[in-house]
Amino acid sequence: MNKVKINGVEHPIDADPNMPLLWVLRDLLNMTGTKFGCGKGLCGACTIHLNGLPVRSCLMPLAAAFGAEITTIEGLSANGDHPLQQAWIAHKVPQCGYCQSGQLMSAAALLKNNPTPSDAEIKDAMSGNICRCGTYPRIEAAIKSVAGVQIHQPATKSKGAI
Amino acid sequence: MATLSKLNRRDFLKMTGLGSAGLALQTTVSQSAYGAFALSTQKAAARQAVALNIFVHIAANNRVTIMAHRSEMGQGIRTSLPQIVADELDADWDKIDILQAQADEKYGDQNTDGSNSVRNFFQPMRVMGASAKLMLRQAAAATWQVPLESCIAKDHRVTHSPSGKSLSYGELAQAAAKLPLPDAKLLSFKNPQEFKYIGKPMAMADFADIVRGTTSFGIDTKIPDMVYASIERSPILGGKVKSFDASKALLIPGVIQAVKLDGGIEPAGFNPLAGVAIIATNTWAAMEGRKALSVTWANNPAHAKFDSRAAISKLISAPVTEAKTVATRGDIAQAFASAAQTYEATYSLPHLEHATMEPPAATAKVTATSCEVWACVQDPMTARKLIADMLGFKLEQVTVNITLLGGGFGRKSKPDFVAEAVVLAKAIGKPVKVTWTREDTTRHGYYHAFSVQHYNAALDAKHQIIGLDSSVASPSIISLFKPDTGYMQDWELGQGFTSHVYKIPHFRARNIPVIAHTRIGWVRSVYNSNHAFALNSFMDEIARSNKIDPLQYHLDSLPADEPNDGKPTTEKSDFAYSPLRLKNAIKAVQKTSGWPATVKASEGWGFATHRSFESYVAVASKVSLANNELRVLEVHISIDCGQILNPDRVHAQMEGSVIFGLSAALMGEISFKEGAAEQSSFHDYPMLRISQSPKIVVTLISSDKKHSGAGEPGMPPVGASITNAIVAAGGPRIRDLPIKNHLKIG
Ligand code: FES
Ligand code: FES
Repeated sequence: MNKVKINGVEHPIDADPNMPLLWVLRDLLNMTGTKFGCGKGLCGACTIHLNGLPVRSCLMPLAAAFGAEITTIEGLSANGDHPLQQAWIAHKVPQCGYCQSGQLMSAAALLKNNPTPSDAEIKDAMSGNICRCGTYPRIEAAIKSVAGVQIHQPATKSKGAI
Repeated sequence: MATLSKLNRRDFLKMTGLGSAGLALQTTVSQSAYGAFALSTQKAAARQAVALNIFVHIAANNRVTIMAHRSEMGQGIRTSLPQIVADELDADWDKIDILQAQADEKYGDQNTDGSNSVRNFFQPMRVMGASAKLMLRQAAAATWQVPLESCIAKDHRVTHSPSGKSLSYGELAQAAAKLPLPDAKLLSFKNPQEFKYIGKPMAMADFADIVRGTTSFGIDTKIPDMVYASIERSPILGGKVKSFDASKALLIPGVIQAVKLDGGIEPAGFNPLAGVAIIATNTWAAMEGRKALSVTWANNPAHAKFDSRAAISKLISAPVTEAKTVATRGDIAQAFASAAQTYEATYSLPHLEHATMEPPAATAKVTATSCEVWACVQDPMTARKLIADMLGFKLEQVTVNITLLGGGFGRKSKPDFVAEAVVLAKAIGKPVKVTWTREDTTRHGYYHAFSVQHYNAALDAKHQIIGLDSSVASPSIISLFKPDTGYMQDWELGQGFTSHVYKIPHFRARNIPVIAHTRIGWVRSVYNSNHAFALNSFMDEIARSNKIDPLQYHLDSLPADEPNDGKPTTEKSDFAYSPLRLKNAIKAVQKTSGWPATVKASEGWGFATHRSFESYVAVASKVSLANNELRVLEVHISIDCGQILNPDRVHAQMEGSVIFGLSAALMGEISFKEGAAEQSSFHDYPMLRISQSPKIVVTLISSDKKHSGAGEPGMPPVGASITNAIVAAGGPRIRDLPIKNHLKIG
C-alpha cells in the first residue's frame, strides 16, 4: 500500500492515485483543517505545503505526494504557536475563519522562502487566496508584523505516532 | 479559551438535562420578560454542571458555560452575546466556555439575519447574567446565614464583606441551582461605567481553533456509517428529471448509487430542487460520478426563456406601465410645473450570489422516529420546522446541530441544502452528507434581486430637489413563498426607496411589477444596496452637473433639525430616521478623507451615504483611472450603530462590508440565459482579492443610542461611492453595474 508523509507521520493510503489530496486529507484521514472552496485552484482555501512549497491540494493528485513531505494547517506548528498563528490572533484576523487555514499556509510558505517580503510581494503571494469576509487588511498587517522574525521549521511528530 | 469537543458537547447537553420533560420553557426572549425563562435545576452527576438558567451553566470546577444561541458566521456573535452575560454575571472571562445551542424554541428567535442579534438580545442577555449572579449571592447568603446585601459578587466569587469569607461560583453552583427563579424586580444591572466586557474589543472565542484548523464547519461533519452525496440539479427553476443514465457513474470506484430527487412544487420556498444525487464513499467519488452522469430535463416553460440582461434592458427602455404608487407626499405635478430645471436618470443592478467561502453542506441521519442534522444554518428553527414537516415528525423528533458557518450573508438562512440531506438519508437508509460544489453554489443560489430604478427630479433655482418622481422594478423575495404578482413588499421598498430623510416636499414612488424567474433571496443588506446605489448616484449627478460639491449637496439636502426623529419619513416607512446622525456620519468621513481632497489628474473621490438596519453610514472612496483601468485606492467608512458591544467586531464588519460591496460593484453579476445562470465559479464570478483591496479607514461614531445593525449597513453606500469617484477621476458615469462591463478592473 502507498504511504504518504503528512505532518511528519507516514499514513498508509488505499485510494485512487488520481484522488486529489484535498479529499484524501478530508474524507479518508479526517483532517478537515484543509478546506474546499472551489476545486479549481481559484480560491486557495485548500492550500497545503508540498516539500515546503504552497500548493492547491484540490488539484494535486495523491500520486504527487508519494515520497514527498506534506504539511497541513494541523501540522504548521506543534502547539498552534507558529509566529503567524500568534500574529493572526494578535491582529484578530479571522471572521468566519473558513479561508484562514489556506491563508496561513500561503503566508507561512511566503515567509519561509522570503522572510522579509515587500508589500507587493505579500500581495502577490496572497492573491490566490480569497477571503469573502474581507479580512485582507488584517492579513496584510499580521504578515508584516511577523516578516523578519525568525521562523522555526514546522514541528513534526515522532515517526509512526499517529 | 477552549471550546468543548463535539463529544463533550453532546454529553454536556445530556447532563444539563435541558429541554427534558417537565421544564416549562417558553418561547420568546425578545420581550425580555423575566418569566419567559424557567430554571433547570437538574444536576449533572458526572461533572456536577448545573444550569442556573438556560444560558448559564456552572460546573463544580468553576468553569462557566454560556450558551450561544445565534449562528456564528464571522460576525463574532458567539463572543459578543456571552460578553454581556459574563459582564452582568461578574464572571472571569478566562473561566468561560461557549457552547453552541441546538435549535430550540426555548432560546427565542435563533434566525441570525437582519443584523438583529445585538439589537434584540442585549437586554435578555443581561437578564441571564444578572439573575444567575443574584442566585449565586442568595446561595452564599443562605450558606453563611448572613444578609444578602453583605454578599458581594466579583471576579467569579461571592465574598461576605464583613468577614471576608468567600466561595467561588463553582462552589456555590449546586446550591444556587436549587433556588427558585428570582423575582425580576430584584435584579439590578450594572451602570455602563462598570462594564468590564461590554464595549470592549474581546477576541473572538474561536480564534485559537480557527488558526489551528480545528473548528467544525458544516462541511467538516463526519458521523459513523456516513456516505457522501453530490447532486446534479435542474439548471432552470422548476425543471424536473425526465430521465437519467447513471450507468457510467456507477463504474467509478467509490460510487454506490444514484438517487432521483423529485424536487418540490413552486413556489420554491426552501424545498429541495429536482435532480439526481450520486452517493459515494467519499466526496470526490460523488463529484466524479456526477461528471459521468447524464440527465434529461423536463424544463419549466415559464422560466426556460429567462434572459436577465434582456429583461433589465427592456425595463430600462420601457415606459412606465402598470406601476403601482407605493409612497406619495405633496403634489408631484405641481413640483414639476414650477421647476427651474429637471434631471432624469435610470440605474440598474444585476442578480448576485452570496458566494460564501464554505459552500452549503449538511449531514442528516433519519430513523423511523427521529432525525438529526448537522449543518451550517443561519436559521435553525426554520430548518427544524421544514424537516419535521417533510418527515411528518413533531419538532421534538428533530435535532438540529448548528456548526460554525463559513460565511452566511443570508445564503445559509435557506435550509434547502439541509432538506436535500434529509431526503437522501431517508431514501437510502444511511446518514448522508451533501456537499455543494462551487458550481452548484453559483448556479443554484437564492439570488439578490436585480433592480432597475428610474429617477426624475424637479429642482428649484438653487438646485435643491423640490420634487422627486421615482420608480423601481425588482423581483420580490415573496415570490419564493407565494404566487408571484411581480410587486415588491413594503419592507423591501422601505429599504431606502420609499424611505429617506432628504427634505423633498413633493415625492412619488412607484413600483413596476416584474416576475421572478429564479429563486430570489436576501443577500447582505438586501434591497438597501440597490436603492442606495441609485439614489446616491442620482444625487451625485445632480450635484456635479450644477458644480456643487456632492458631499456638501447631501448635507444641504438634509433637514436642518430633527423633524423626523421618531416619526415616519414617508407613509411607507415606519421607523425613526435622524438627519443629525446621518450628518455626523457624513462629517466623520469628510474629516478622515480630507474631503474635498485634491488629487492627481487621473484620480478622484466619490461619496455616498445610507441608513439601514437603524445604523447610519457614510463612505468616501478614492480611485485611479489610467488607460481605462480602475483601481480603488482608499475607502473611508463611518458608522453610527448606537452603543457598541464589541468595537473590534464592528470594525471588522466595516472592513468586510467594504470588500463585499467592492466585489459586488466592481465585478458582481449573475446573468441568466435560456433560464440558467451563466456563471459557475470564481473565474467568471470573481471576488475581490488582496491585491485589489484598498486602504480602508473605519470610524466608529460613539453614541449612547440603542444598539443597531452592524453586519449589513456598511455595504449599501460602497458601490455608488466608487462610480461617483470614477466620474471625479475623469471617467464615465456608470449607471449599470457591475463596473467591469464598462472598465477594466485593476
Ligand atoms: S479549493 Fe482548491 S483552490 Fe479552491
Ligand atoms: S474569514 Fe471568512 S472567508 Fe475569510
